[in-house]
Amino acid sequence: MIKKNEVSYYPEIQQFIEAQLKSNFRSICNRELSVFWGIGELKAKLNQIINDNPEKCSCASKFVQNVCPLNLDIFALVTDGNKFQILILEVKLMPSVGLKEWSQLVGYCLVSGAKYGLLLNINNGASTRLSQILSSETHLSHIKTIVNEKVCEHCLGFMKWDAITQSFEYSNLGLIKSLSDLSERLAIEFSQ
Amino acid sequence: MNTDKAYLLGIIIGGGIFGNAEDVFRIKLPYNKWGSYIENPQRAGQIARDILMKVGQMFRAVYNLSIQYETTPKGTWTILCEGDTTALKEDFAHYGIECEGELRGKADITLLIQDLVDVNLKRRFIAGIADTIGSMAKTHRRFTDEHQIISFEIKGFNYKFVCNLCHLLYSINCIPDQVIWNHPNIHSTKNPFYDTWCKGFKLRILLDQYAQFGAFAFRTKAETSIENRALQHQTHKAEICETRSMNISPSTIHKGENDARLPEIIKGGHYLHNRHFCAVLGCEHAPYDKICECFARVGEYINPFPILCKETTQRIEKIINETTLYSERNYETFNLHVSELLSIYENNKSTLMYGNNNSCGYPILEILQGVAYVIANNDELNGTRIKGNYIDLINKHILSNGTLTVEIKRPDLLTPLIIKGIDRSALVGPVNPRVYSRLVSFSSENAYKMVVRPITLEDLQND
Repeated sequence: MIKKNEVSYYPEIQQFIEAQLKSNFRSICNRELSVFWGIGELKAKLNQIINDNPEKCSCASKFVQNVCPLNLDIFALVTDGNKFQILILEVKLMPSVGLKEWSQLVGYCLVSGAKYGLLLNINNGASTRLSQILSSETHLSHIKTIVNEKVCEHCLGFMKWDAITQSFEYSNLGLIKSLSDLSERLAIEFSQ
Repeated sequence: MNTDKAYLLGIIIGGGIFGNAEDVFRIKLPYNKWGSYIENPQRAGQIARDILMKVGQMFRAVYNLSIQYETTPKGTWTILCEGDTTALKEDFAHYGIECEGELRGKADITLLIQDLVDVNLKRRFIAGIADTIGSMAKTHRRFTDEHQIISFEIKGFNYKFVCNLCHLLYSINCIPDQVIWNHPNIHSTKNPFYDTWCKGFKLRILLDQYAQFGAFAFRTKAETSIENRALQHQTHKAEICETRSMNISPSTIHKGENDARLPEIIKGGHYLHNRHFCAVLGCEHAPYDKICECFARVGEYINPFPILCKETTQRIEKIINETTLYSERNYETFNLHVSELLSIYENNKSTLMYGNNNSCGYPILEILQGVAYVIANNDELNGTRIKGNYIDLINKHILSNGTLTVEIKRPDLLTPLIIKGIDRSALVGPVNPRVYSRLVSFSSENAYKMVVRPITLEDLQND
């Protein structure tokens, strides 16, 4: 059996998340949501996405100007054409993810200004220590910063990707408990 | 509605049972044998994990409910969901579903399905149903291992639920292979005196088809699907209902056709084939033309008598005594060499015996099955069923006794022939298409609903 690396799981994870976000948005808002994926350097890829899809993504132009160059596993520009949000996925393929991997996601979200971040481990869960920390220290998955006198919010969660069933197993660790929870937050924001 | 709720509502519709307690309900997973910790401890461990990690975490994330589980040695699993169930009950109430008793038996999912606005939401809902009542036991295969099946097993008489589920599957390109309706014309095609015909519905789908368009959330289910599909040598595509061929075997008129539990649209009708139900229920995919073609030859497809009824001699005598048309006959009693019957069969398997003309009489195939039942040793039977091939059994008995005979009682009119043994006997009904076709009429409300009246002495005398 060929051993797969984490990158080989990216397409199925992207496909699943995109399908859930779109379905939920359609169900809640009765209109369409667009999800544009990027792998690698954030600023360049965002610029490329906006250039390729100006009618839907130009709402993110101003945001991109202030983004620092940053290498990411996967990110998504989620937009309804008027508003947008950035979702960062930190994908791991390891026996258990710990505080180090969580910190990595936190760092990426703080540096990029992305509001949403998910730490994903393929076929495995989180370490006992990370589980305990995220259960008791709720502020670690709901971070608020003030940048240039503007309040920024970062909402994070941890989920396990099940490669056999091609779906997520929720952990209830972090603020984002499920994809329907994430979808609902996006729907509320985009409807305001 | 959202994708997680769609899954959870699916799993609750599939197995949810609500009692009087406000803060608790159960989800029954009927994983008989397949999920038994005695038969397969490793799988049972994985099921427990699926319940806690998949279902439990999702219930907590979406409805803030906590779960526990219990299981039996036979493999039935029960998830206990505890907490404030108000939000969940409100969701069901929004779709007109009252959380009382076993939902699957009576729930009308029409409104709920309307809210599954795209293929993905539909798939999540179906995944919930599949994780509860989607059985992949090896016995569900179609004839051989080459066609693996997932069968949605549904108890009760909720025809509308089965129709809705079938439509839902169709709408995501997951075309069902067969619907086995909970009806005597399906579960007891030969014996009108078989009272325990109520075996439930089975909505069967080729596993290849389900793997392509359906979904599972339980890892154990997904792994079984992979294992079962590995038994096949090739991938199989489903054929749409409109164009699939239909093979009709004759069926007896069963008193259960008027069972009070059947919905009005079905009750009182006689059905020639699984897809005849679909036509009566008004499904847009039903093969209406093919059903109408069958009506032209209806006398060949129905039998107002038992086609084959295998019972104890005492029970057969009771049936005869209680049925005037049988008890008032004069019977000619004689012994027939079993080897003679076998020769007739070997000469022409379609032989009709003791008829008035070429198109009526008692089919040798049914007579021999009755004979096999009567002459079999107890250890050669499984209930009333012959273990193995009945011709092999007859040959075996002839080999040990070349002059073996059976007692036959032949009536003076074409009513059932009696094959009489000491402890076991059988009734074999005659084929008589011209007479039987006269018993058929159609409902004034539904052109496809066929009604068959009981046969009378006059019908037989005036032929």
